[in-house]
Amino acid sequence: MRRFYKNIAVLLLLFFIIDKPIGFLISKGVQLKQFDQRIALICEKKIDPEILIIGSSRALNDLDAAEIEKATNSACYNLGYSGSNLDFHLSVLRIALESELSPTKVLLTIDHSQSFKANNQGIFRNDKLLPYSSYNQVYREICDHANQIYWLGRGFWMYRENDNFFNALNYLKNGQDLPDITSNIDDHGSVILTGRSPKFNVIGEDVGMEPYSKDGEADHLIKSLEEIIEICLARDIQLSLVFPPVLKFRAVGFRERIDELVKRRAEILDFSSLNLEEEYFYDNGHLNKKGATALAVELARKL
Amino acid sequence: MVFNSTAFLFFFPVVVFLYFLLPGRYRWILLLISSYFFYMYWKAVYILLIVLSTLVDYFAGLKMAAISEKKKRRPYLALSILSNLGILFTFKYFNFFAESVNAMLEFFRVAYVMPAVHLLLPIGISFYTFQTMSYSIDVYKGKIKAEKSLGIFALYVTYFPQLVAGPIERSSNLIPQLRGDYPFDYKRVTDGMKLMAWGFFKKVVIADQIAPMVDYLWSDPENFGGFSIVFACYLFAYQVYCDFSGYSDIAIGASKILGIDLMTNFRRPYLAQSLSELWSRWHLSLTTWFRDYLFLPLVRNKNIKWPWQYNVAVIYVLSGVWHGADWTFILWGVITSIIIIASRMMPKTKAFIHRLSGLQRFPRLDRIVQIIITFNIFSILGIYFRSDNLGVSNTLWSRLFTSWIADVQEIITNSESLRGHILYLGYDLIQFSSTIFMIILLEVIQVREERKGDIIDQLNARSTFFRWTVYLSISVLIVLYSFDRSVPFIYFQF
Repeated sequence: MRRFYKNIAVLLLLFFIIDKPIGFLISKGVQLKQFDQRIALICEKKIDPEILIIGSSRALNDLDAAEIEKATNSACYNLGYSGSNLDFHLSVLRIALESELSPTKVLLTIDHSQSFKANNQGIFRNDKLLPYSSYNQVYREICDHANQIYWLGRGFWMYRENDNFFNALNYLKNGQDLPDITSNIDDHGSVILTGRSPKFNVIGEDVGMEPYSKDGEADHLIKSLEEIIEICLARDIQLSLVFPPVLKFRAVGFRERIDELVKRRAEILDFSSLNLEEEYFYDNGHLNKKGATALAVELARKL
Repeated sequence: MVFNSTAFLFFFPVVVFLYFLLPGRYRWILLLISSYFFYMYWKAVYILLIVLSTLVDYFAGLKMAAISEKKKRRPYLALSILSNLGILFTFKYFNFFAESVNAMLEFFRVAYVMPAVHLLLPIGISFYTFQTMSYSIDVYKGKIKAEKSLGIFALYVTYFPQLVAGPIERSSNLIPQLRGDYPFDYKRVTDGMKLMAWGFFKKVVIADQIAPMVDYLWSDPENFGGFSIVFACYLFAYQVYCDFSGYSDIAIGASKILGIDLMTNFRRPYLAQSLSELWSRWHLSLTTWFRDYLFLPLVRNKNIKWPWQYNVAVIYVLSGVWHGADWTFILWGVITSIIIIASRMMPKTKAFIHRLSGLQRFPRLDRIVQIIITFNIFSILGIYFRSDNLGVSNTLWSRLFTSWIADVQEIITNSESLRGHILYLGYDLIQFSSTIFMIILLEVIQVREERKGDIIDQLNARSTFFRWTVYLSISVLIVLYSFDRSVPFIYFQF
């Protein structure tokens, strides 16, 4: 049996010796592949804004961090991610705070009536976090939402990085990702859209004056909002929930639902009824450059 | 609990450690507790079905053993078989039966709807019910003595390495081993670990990588032409083989570590030269079950005067039904049996075609051609095996002979997105190449094993440097490929 234990120990040792270099190479490869490096920037504390924007594409596209910075004279950075939900926004906030960023204000955009719905188009964007799993604060969030065990990943890099394996190999073949509408970020983390989408007036078909219903709300999404509020309260961060303008008005009563959940613990900045012409919109749900600039002015006034 | 889970990663070493720590006479208690824990980790309440099956078969066995006249044992055999088949029918086949009855009633315009039952299919139900039935039949026939210890019998029913997906063990092989006192044997334990690693490699590095490609085609069958369908059928053949034989290897390896030998379940089926030979190499514990408890009794029964073709058809149709409650599985069994019966009935025609091809002058090429033909037939029949319903399989059959030239043209002309759709089946070049490379590697190893014997024995004969390089490479590949896919073992659904 002694021989058995000895050989197992040798195998584990050899595995441990090659584990780190392979894990490191995968991690480096997949990070170099990303065009959008915002998570790395916050983890390494290369940015430390006073105003931090979190949310989905409405944050990424509608809130022009550079314009807000100019108008408020406070450093502002956008950490919005297209197609993400409240669970993901909470993770981004936690990663930022664990990276010792010290924002005094957090702007969280609200996706209108879809925010709490289980069939929301927004998801937990694990794919945006995975390339940065070498950072412990990111890996913890990944483990909370995927089938990975945190302490096992702390011990074994290959296990921790195995989701990135093929992405890292792809970097060798294709190099860095080309920027697209969701990742072509500017110096302040925003992706400001220009002109008008070919899908203008096509997407967002569920527009109209419909009463908001609590049916289909997912508890975990409400819990995430609750946690964002609690974190901000605990750290004395001023949280503002931002309703960006929409081209056509959506569910009636959703604002009241937000008031009911927030219970005055956060400021609500509602621009959904801001009368902007069609030329300010990229599509039904998102502003273009002109719209984002106009919103930044309005937002700065309220901030 | 499943083998490819982190829970098993901790569960198994703890069981092995305690197993060798305990004196031999207490080990079966540890294995019994571990086996119940293993099953209850998935859904605790379904252990009641196993307990029921255990108690019924245990008492039926004891009663039968106490009766010397075979005829008088029959009621207890019937009790055992009916209770096992009853569990199986209720949980696995009732809804299919109800749907079929409802369709028939609708056809005859009868206004009655048989209600469906909403029950989760207990994993491994087809395996452990068949295992316990074989025990009762063997006791009835007087082939084995009834097990007197309820604990040992309960362990025979639930022995965790083979509980949820086999091999379906015979009591004559497993029960005597459960009482054994096996000292720690370095070679046996390390050979078991190597077999487990090989099983994990097949499951994680091959089967789980193929799964998204196969799902890609089957989720939208109308969007593909013949080339992609045939290619996906080949891939599915490898997926199901690596998935199931991988599970069997892990089960056999885990049991070997504990000193208990389980039966071989696969013998390189894709190197078979005919469909019937393939089935004599595939899922041996089930095929021999059907042979011993159904086919041979049918052949030997003087009251049944069917031609042999009926017996073959019964076996393959029942084998199809065993795999799943759907018309697709029944049709799969019918077509398989037709091919096997036709092949056996026309030896002269086969020999004539063989002569005509001129292949007998090139025996090696002849063997390869036979292997390729057999693999193609088996893979294409996978259309029924993989499709959720007849609608999907009909769509695939109707598209099987379409757009071959256009598909091949798209692959050759450097159109990356269409190539990704038609050939890579949703993957990119790197993932596609790595999957194909692993399949080729598997085949090279299997051919070597076919020629020179057990691959682990071959590995043991190599230099220390070579062996350790293999151990490390396999470990690294398993860890790197075991990312978050959560692909369950295919045979769990059976």
